[in-house]
Amino acid sequence: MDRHGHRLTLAPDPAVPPAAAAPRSSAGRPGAPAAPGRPVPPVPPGAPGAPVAPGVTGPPVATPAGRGGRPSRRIAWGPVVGWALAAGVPLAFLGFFFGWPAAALVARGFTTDGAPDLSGFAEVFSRPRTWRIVGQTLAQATLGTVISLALGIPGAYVLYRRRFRGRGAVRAFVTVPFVLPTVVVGVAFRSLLVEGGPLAGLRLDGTMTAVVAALVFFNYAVVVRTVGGLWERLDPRAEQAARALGAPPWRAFTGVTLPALLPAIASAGSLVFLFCATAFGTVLVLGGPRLGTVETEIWVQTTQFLDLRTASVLSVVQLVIVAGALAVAGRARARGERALHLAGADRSTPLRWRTAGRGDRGAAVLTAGVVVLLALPLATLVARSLRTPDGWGLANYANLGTVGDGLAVTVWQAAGNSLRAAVDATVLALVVGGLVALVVSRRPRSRSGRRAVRGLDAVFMLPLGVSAVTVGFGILITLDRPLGLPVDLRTSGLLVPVAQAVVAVPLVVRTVLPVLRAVDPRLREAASALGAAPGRVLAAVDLPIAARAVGLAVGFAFAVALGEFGATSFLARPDAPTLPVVIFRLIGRPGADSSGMALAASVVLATMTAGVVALAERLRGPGTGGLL
Amino acid sequence: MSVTDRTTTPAATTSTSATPAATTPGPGTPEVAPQPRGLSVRDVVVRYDDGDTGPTTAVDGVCLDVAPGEVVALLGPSGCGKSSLLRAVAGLEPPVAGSVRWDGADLAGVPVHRRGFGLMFQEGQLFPHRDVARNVAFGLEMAGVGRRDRADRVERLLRTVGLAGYGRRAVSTLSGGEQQRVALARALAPTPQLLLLDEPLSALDRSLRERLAADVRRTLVETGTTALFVTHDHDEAFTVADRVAVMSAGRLLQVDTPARLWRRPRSRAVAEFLGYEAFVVLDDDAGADGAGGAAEPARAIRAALVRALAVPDGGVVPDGGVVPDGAAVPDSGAVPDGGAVSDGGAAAARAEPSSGAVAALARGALVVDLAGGRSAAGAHVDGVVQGTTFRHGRTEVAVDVAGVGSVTAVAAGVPVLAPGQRVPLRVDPDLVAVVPG
Repeated sequence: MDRHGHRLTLAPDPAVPPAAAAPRSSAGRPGAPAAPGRPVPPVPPGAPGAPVAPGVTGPPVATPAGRGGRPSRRIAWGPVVGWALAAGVPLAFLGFFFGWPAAALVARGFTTDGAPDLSGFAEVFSRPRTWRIVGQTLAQATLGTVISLALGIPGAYVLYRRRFRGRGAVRAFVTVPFVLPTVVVGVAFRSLLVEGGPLAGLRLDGTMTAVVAALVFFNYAVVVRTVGGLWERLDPRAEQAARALGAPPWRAFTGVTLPALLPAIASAGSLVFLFCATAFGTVLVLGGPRLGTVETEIWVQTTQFLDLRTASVLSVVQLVIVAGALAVAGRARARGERALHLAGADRSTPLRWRTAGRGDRGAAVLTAGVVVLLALPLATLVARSLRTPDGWGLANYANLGTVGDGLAVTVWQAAGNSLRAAVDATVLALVVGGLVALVVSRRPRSRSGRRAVRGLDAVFMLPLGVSAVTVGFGILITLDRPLGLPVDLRTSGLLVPVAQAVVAVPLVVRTVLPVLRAVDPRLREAASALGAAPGRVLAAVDLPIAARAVGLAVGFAFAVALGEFGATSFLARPDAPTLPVVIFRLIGRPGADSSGMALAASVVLATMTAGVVALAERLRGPGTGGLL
Repeated sequence: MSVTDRTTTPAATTSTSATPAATTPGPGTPEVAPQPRGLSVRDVVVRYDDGDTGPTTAVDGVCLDVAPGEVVALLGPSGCGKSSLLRAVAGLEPPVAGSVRWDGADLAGVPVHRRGFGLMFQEGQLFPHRDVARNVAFGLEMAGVGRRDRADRVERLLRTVGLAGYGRRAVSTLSGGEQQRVALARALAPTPQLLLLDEPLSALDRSLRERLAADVRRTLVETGTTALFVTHDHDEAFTVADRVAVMSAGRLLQVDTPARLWRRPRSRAVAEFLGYEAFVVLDDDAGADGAGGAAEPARAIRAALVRALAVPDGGVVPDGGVVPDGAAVPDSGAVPDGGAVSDGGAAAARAEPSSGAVAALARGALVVDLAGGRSAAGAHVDGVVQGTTFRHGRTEVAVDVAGVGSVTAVAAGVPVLAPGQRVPLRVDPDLVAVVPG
């Protein structure tokens, strides 16, 4: 497939000026049907390529070949500059707003007053608290991943392999938790577990069980959609052949279907692990003082103890954990994308209780149970937001228009801030992520070109795993005087959308890239042969085909930006907080009014996010691959 | 149905590249002009560098000319480099050596979209987001043709390819054959100076492929389009092309008109690729006597072949040439194709075999002759029936012939032939070609 790749570079021959690459025309032949030929471009005066073949059909403009039959090669500067820009803009953006802050953060952990110093590590790792946090992070992530997979694989089967009435609605509903802001998920689970909540009797408030449950709530959709997407298009005849060869259903499943699904399962598992290990908002809200992750600990150390050095060391730890999970995810993803070539039509079969086997029934019951459990926190959240000290009513919502206890702005104003920041962040993420997807989707001819593209692919994926808190914290400590300039970007309010965009870029890339990769290179070649210059090929072929995916990416980027809390919590100015920041402040305050407002604000935020994603989902056509 | 005598010759017996064929076919055309019209490919080398495996040479010094209005087929097995050559001509792969010229002007450095060459692929590669008419109109849009002219031309082309009225249809609603027709119309719309077709019919089923091949030929001739047509199917190549270039392992083995190619394959590799299934060394002295009894059984078939080939049978030769006695000696080195042999060159095809020559037997070259195997003259050829299949109204009989091995003979009607039965055979000279040994 590399043979059909786009040509990024030509062998340079500096002796020949680019002007020599004079276009030649296609002139009609005698006897050919009267049709408009392509316009004959003017011959550049003094160009080395003088017309060589005078003829009745119009002078073709070209250059003579090099001596000795060796064709001369020229650099086509247009594409070179274009691709350099396409790769350079995102590199510059991510380098400045992600690479540099992250590097500065790491450097701070390794140095004291400019001198290399590892004592910070020794000191931080000598504290039992550090080991407790690392242990909790890994334990929560592992448990969350295992349970998500155990519940999600049957769910993928029921929702993507079988057909039943209302399947579309259930699929959409299952996705809702994933796009909910983490703070909202935290608030929803708390409303379920605290005193007065429906599950208060379980005494789970502030326990690891509660945190893991919230993580599974959040990541169930990742497993269902990633595994389901592949399962949906898996050819059932392989399993049927196994059955015909005498395998009982479970043997056919474990021997044929499961191995085929492994790439998707591994990919989903490593992603879920990544999301769990970098969980911030949910853990911060639910974990209380006893439970945390490396992510929340960085935040605590920075904002509560003002211990930047410890925070830097922990950021390095976080980077290591993330890099490990990313490496596994990357390998699984590479296999998964190859497996996508097996894709075919929708292969699902109707699910009927009467005729269903034991396995089908079990999966159906399990999935129904999960759906109910997913609905529980959301229903409780809505119900409790309507409960006031004086009984049921809309008082909490009415309070959203007031400047509450200790808040600088009303909740509605915060919602406005969130929307404005999210719009900016979406535009940024779309431009940067779109360019990344475009560059990485290409398969250049030359080996060095391919290597460069592979390198870019890896570089651009880094922010996917790097924690939002690290991004926010890193930007906070580096951009006070960027490049020595006497401007403090931190007060400009610009950094919030920038940080949100950094967090959203990988999502945009993962949504658009598979579609661009799936475009047959010969489609572009056909357009080229029909006379389309590289820019027009992009506009006439790639863009229309990727349009749906881009629409979906806009929705996801917007939703992520709306709900972003980790980075924003560092960067939002006190007088212009976003909605998630306000919600977090509200739940930290005593009093029924504040917690009531937090619940109502969470409902508002959840509604906004879910609405945006639902809109984007409508754009999603069948068969588009990708992360989600 | 293995043929025992198949594996002995190395693939390519000819030199590095086939001698460039005459630029223009047909009688009355002048010699190669200093400024040749049409496409001229000289010593082109295409190499891929696929990372781990190291560079692979897909096209290895190929020379080929296509005259204006001519349709040339590039025929070869998959992986022989024919598509790479096509891509080099299109400008999709830069050749590492050699030149591609149009009307004498070097195209190196001219990007794909400025070459004015049309391109058509195996699966059509229609733009999924455009309807049929807008697919066909794409090249015209790129050329800046006005809306009304565009509509006119699209309508006319859709009629030409037999899809009048399909303009508003979504391409996903078309069958495979219809999609290829649209792809052909789309490629022809901007009146390309050269149309490059990369296995355009290979994804279709057999009967459709045969029908469409004839349609493609008709359309190309009607529109006077110069074309280079890549295929691995010799029937398709023979149907569509004026001349056929046989390619193997990156090199051209022979470039010739379909009839001459069939009658006179220049090497055993070419003959094998065209479907000749068995080969018999005709040289009488070479070993039959020396080897004694072992080679004795081969004598009968050898003698029968020599006798059959010696009988002039001009009327059947497609080129219409009458074979003069003692015509040109078939020897690959001495017969450059196109140039030295005159157009009545079928003479060479039916010439008496020289020493060392090999007879190539196509399917049906041996005919089961239950009436009288001995009647012709002298030697008696027979074979042992291995099995029969009934195809196209006649019986194909797999027979084991001494000195040849297993070959496919034909028998009229539906004779009762049991495996193991010995049947008399005669030679159908039209299905035997002489290949240099």
